[in-house]
Amino acid sequence: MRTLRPSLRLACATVCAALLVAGCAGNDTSSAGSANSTGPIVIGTSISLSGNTVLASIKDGYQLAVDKANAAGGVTVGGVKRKIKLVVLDNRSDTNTMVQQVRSLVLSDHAVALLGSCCQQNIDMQGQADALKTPLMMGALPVELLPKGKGYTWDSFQSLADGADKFYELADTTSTNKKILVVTSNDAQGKSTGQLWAGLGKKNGYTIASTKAVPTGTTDFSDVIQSGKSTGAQVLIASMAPQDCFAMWKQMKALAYKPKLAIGLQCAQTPGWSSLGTLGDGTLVQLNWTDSAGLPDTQMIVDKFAKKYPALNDLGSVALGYHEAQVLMNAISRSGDATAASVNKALAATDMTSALGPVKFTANKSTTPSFIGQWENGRIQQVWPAKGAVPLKSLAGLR
Amino acid sequence: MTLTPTLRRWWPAAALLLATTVCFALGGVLDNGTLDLGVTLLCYLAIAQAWNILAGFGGLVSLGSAAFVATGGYAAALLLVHTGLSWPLAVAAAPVAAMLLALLLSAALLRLRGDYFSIGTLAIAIALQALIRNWDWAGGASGVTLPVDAVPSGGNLYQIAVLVAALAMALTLYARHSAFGLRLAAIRDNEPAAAGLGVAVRRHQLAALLPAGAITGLAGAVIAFQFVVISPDSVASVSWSLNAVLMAVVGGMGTVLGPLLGVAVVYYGLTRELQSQQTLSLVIEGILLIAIVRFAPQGVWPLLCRATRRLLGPRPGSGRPAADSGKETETAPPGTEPLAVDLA
Repeated sequence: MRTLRPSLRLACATVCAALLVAGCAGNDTSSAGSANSTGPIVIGTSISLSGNTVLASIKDGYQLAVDKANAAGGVTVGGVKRKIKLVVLDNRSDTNTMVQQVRSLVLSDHAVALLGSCCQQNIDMQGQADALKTPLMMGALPVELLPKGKGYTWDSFQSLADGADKFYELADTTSTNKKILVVTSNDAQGKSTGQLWAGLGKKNGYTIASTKAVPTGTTDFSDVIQSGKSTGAQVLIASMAPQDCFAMWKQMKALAYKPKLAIGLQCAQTPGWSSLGTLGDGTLVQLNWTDSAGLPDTQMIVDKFAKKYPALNDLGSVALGYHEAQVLMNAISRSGDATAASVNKALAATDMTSALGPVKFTANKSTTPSFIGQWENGRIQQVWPAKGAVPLKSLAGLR
Repeated sequence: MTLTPTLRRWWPAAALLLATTVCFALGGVLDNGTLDLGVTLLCYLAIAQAWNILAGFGGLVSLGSAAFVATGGYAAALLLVHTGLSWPLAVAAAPVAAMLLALLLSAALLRLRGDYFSIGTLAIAIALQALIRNWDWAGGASGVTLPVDAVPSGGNLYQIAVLVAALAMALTLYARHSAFGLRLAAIRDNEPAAAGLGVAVRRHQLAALLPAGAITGLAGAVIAFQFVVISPDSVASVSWSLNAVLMAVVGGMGTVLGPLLGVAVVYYGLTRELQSQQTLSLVIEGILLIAIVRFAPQGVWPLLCRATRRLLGPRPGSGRPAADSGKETETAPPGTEPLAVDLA
């Protein structure tokens, strides 16, 4: 730099210093949001619409609720009718993409609130909601699995304990040796589910013959199956990603492991289960919705989506999305100004009935009813509670 | 216009300093959405440049960037969560941890050549992800939540990201213009010949691996602060490795500005702008990669340089030697091209 004249050097240094001072000064620019205006209120979601998990039915539920609200002129906020703009981004089942999309929804699209995705992604999304101080209304995560956050995440879904109790009530109606094999994924959801179901199994007089936690993406379940066979477990509780359950069910058939009852938590609830054909028949699922339980808006959901989604669990996912969006829009309308902070406050005071039943939050959780269904010929039918149910059949697929 | 040798030597560094200063200053004026986008772009730039130093200049095609992102991210996060260290110390620990990992792995990795090196690095990234997933102290599969109030955000995080990206760019400039870079390129182009001329192959490769790992780890710490919740599925995802390769290859590996262009095209142009049409984004990404491999194997930046020189170069019959063939960029070792492509 010897060729630079001292005055030029001084000028360069001054410019650099001025820019640095400007940079260090910080900024007060905050998200403008859609508050205090009459324009549309933006709510957003980063949901998995491609990749390992496809949640198109939940997205349809979101859209149904938003379309219905907008058709009625929008949501009334502070005495003014405002339309809702739903921004849906596909995160390709990738957590990195989900995080980046959620941040862009809040910081660039100025979403005042978020809707959830599913399962483990919901847990990852909670951190973003807390960091961005933006309410996140979610389902598809059993209420026991919601981590303690900073109060911006609201989970209204079924309870694992409730589902487990119903499962054991149902299991008591059939003859087994009461020995259980518990197989879960080794993520937070899988481990917590396994512990909770095993604990309640013991309370209900069952013996935990073996417990296994496997990484997502496991393809070889031979040691798990061997453990089930060697301990003689006649009741199987599996809580894993769909592709893992598919692999395990096929290997159970190949290795001739024949439990008398099997429930696939998380995995058998996905539409892909029907692709197992007869192998999946008889498998039990925990349901958050059935068309025979007399829940609100059932007929509308069936009328609009029964052709697109013939399976009961898919219709249940539509109902779940509809329920989440209903609860959120209800809070937006009570918020007074549609800012993130006031929507969050309004969510805490929720007391309404949605497509999944009554919703009232305690410690950011609200439990919706659980049902037990059973796969039969590519369809799920409610088998418990007895009201509105068909009789339990054998686990035909593995026999 | 002719430049004095001193200016010719220092202007890329001066340009980088000016760009860094301007970008740093923007941290005080940009809105939150742009700042967040900036952090993402700058982290990708640092990771892609680190990969570029290793693969573009050193010929070590790594698929293990994710391992260093995870090491840096988790080192910073775990120190913050379990020891209560301040964030600057946590950030400082990230490159140290990543360098230690690089040093540990170098004994095995640097014995591998070509595809075997790539597969070895990929295996390490996958193994590290599995290790974290089963490591309860690191939160297992559910990950770690950083104390939101104890980590920088907004403009401050952006400014840290600017410094990390600037460091990566400076290292790349050094690799491009130094004798060390020339020796590294010699190893890349013909390892036995370079060794025969007295270049210490293993030592030079290690000297590229360590800073590349450190920069990637540093970017990992910034990503951890941005994400707040980190898990094996996020910071240890193999997608970091794939994106680093894609961005550097699309932009132009072995060049200084190529990865910058690659980050802009791949992340901003395809991922971000087409995020409401993810399938279309994936299809375009695939087509772009095929087109680049087929028609511009050196990447977009060298292609643009050649096209620019062709447009600005002497017309036929002007009597001056043609400088627009682009051959120099393709064949000349780093540091020997004319000034017109000095940043290439």
